[in-house]
Amino acid sequence: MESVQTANRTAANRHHFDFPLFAVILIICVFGLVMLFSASYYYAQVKYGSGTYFLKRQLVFFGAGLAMMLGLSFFKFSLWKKLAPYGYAAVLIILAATLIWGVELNGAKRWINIAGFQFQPSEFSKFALVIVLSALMCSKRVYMQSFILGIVPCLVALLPMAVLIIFQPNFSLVIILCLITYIMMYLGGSRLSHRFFLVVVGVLAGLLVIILEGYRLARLTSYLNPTADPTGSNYQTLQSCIALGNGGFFGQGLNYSKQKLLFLPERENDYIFAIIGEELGFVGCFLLLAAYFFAIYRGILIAMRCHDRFGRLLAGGITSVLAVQVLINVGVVTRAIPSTGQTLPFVSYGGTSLMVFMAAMGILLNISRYTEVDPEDAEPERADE
Amino acid sequence: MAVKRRKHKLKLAVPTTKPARPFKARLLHTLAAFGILFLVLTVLLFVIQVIMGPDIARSALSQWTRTTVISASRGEITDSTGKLLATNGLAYKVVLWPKRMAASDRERAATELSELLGLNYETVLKRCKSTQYQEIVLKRQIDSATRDAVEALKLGSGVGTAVDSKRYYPMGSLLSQVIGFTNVDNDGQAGIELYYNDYLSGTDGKRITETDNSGNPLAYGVDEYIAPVDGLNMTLTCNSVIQRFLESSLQEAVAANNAKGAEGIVMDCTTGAILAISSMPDYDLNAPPRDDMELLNRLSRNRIVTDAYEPGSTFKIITLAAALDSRTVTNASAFSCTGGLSVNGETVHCWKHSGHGPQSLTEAVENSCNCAFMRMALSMGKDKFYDYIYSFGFGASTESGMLGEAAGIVTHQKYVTDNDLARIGFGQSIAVTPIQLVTAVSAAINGGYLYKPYIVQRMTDKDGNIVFQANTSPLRQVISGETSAMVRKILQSVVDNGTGRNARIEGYAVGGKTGTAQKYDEYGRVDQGKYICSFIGFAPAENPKYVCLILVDEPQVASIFGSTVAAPYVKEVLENILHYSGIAPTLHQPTVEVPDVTGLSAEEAKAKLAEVGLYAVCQSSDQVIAQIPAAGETVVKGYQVLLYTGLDEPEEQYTETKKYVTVPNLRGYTPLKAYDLLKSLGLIMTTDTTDPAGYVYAQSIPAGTKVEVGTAVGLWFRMNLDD
Repeated sequence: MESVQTANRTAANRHHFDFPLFAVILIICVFGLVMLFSASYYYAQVKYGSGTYFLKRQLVFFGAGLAMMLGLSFFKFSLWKKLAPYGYAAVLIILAATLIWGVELNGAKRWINIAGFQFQPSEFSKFALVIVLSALMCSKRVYMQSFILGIVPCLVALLPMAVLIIFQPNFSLVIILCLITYIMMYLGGSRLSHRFFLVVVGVLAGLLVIILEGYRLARLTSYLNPTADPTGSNYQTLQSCIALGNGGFFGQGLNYSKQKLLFLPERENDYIFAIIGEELGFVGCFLLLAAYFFAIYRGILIAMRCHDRFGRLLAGGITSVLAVQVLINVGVVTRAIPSTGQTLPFVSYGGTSLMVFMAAMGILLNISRYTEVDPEDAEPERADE
Repeated sequence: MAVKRRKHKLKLAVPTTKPARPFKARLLHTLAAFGILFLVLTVLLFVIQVIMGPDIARSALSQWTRTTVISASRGEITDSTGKLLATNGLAYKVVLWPKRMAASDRERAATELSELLGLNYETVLKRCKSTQYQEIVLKRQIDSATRDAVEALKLGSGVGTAVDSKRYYPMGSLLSQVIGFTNVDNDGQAGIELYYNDYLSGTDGKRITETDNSGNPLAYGVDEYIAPVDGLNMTLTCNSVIQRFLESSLQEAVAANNAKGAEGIVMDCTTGAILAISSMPDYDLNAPPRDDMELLNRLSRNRIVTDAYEPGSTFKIITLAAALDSRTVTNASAFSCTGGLSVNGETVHCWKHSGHGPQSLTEAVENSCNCAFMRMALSMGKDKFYDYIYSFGFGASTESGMLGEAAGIVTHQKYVTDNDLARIGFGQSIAVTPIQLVTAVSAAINGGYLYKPYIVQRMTDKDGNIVFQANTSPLRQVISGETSAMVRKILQSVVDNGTGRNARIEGYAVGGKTGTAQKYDEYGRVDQGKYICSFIGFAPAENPKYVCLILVDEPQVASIFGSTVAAPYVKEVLENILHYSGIAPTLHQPTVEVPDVTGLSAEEAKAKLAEVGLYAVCQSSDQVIAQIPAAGETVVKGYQVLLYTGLDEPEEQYTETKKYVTVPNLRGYTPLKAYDLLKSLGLIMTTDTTDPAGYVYAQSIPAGTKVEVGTAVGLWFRMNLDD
């Protein structure tokens, strides 16, 4: 069996995980804690009477996340291939449970209480999808040339997840899952004509849903016409732009954000990047984006150096989820795309997001332990076949 | 595993076409795609933060701060003696802070507030929901009881009350047309309040506080305070005592003559200062009839400056002054009157159709002979007479600083015929405002100097620094001092011997001139039976200080002449002023007590009055049912007593309100005791100082004299009576 054989081969080359990636993730996390405290303490003081309310909780999640990251960096990645069907099934069950017992907030059921802990199963779904797609596509690449053998299984994996999430409803997450599937298909080596066909079908389906459900149309038109209602649905993005603009080149200085004084909603969460922009300016934003990009670069490098097709797909997929998440979050804050409600990895407040992303980084770090030290010596194309 | 099993079966079915890109290349392309997108976002961030940043931040300033307006205090208005005419009282306002209001509380707040404050529920609810505003003033100028009621509703932190100010007029209706009133926002709406609004209102200050989105001030936030600049305090030339004299006389004149209205003005002819000005009927400044705009407009018109009228005989003073100054006539000129004068083939009648016969200049003025004045105007000619008319200030606003001043109508010289010129000579075919007439007559009698009439004495800031002081230098000399002296003398003779006899004041020399003018309807035709009777008088005649003009609009009594309708009230005002201002009497004219002639026939009454040296004016020969002045009043010999016969009953209320008391002997009284005694009798005590001390040694009205209730009694005090 090819995969077992590969695992045996790579096991022989096991070494330390990729330290630059570990370092940059840790730096982003610590920086994120500082910014979370700065962005949230006024709201925490007003709402909970304690300025450190969010920081304390996030520190607990960070500790748990760190433990998961380090633990998973020693968990042999190839085992995920075997676990994939079970993990996938578990996620589907939790998503279904969320629809039934979920906590409703602003008309959507996205949270579920399990043993006193509230968490967002949709955060799991992204990585669960990456793992299951990697598992599906890791057999010989030639299968990916076939629509039936390569593309359809991927779509079959995506569909139940997408259906359960669309009922929450969380339309933007469905789009992100489709995006991830598309990237995974590209990495897997599918045909351009097949992918183009999928894009056409996907856009048509998207339009259908937008027309069927009125409020999405409203959100879209308000995005296209921002001055129409500055206090309504555009309020968040308008306030986020004010925060960024107020930051200027060097920022107002740490702690000196005005927008965090309840003007900007979700300041400790989806819009924390705007507060970073206000306090640390363009310089701060640029350095943070550079740090993310460095992490993505290391992730792609790990994938390139990996000899195992499953490992490559998994590393590439996890890195892509990170990249897509950062791009969408910053895109919303800068009004490049409509508001979606995606967190900024490692920085936004939220235990599920922080722990899931740190765990995913643990998987990535584990893959990095099985790479060729010198990529020049490797024969990746052969390893592929 | 399903995937694996299927693989073997389908292996051959898989098409082996050209290989796709190597995995490494696909990963690199993915990385490049992410790189490009990161670059795009970086550029976007640069545009938002660095290029648009400053503008965005500026536009957001208003949301980060709360601006509270601190109202400037409106300037106070006082009379020349410092008595408050307009001031600010404490009031409250209801303020909403919509953001602090819980959404569930809004409907309750709107229901209870709209009920309590008498506002529309929908409007209040809309305001409660206007979260885009920090602060909304719901209602201004509520009283403390309403404020307490609002507080008692306990509507939470979103509804509150704050201190507001409201204009109060301690003197009520006094000087109502001059002062005017303000609206609920303390903006002037009429009179001086409107005309000088920019000076009185000041500049509001503000406090800018940094707040969070709920409007709570920040612990470390910047707090900026811009102090308000209070409005200027204004001192008027008017004296509230003299104003009261004028207003009560005008009210009497309206009542006694059953007139539509009356206007009057008292001017200090040595400066142009307006001492009193009023139009009757007036209104209470604290409660202007805001609901009836038409009525309010009518009552708040300061007709002395806004309404031009045909002055009639009072204008003859101007013709006389011009003719004398241009040496067209002299004291020695003689005029003969045959009852009319033919000008360009048209006969213009004298008011006495039978004619006055031959007269000297003084007699012509005493008789108010139209023919004489037509001659004077024609002899001067258009150019000369017009020079004087313009020089006296007619045809242009006097710029007295009162709202809505009119210029009057002086037909342009080019279009004036001889006929018109002759008429102008006796005050027709020309329209003047009362203030123009008073100003011009002042110039004619004060030595020839034309002063600009003014009502604002000075304006001071809150620290007492004088910001504006009225200029009292004359504008120009219109006639020579000698001419002016002659005019004074002739006008004194009018009061002593002529049509102005009823303006005589015991002990003082008074000059004056009557006037009766026809009113015109809106088409310019003579309005039959509608007259404006006027009298302009000045005192003391030798060295004039006070000039008083009173116009009675449409009197409804039998004998419509300035001499009986207006002159007695000018006399009353001037007499009160002379007593009040402590000008010592200079003449010792024989006075008589008016006998009671009611019940007698007109003929008998005339005879009885003649016995004591008084004249009688009456319409018919029926029984006399009332007389003015009433029996027992002391008047100068030669006074015209107005007799009401059966046909023309005077207004009932008028006779009823006239009450008489006997002036007691006050010698030796202390100021407080004298004041109390006079007050108990309904008399007004006046003194020449603001701080009288010692004992009474003299009084302006001798003990035992019967006077009307409300008459001012001047008292002089001395520390030691034995001196």
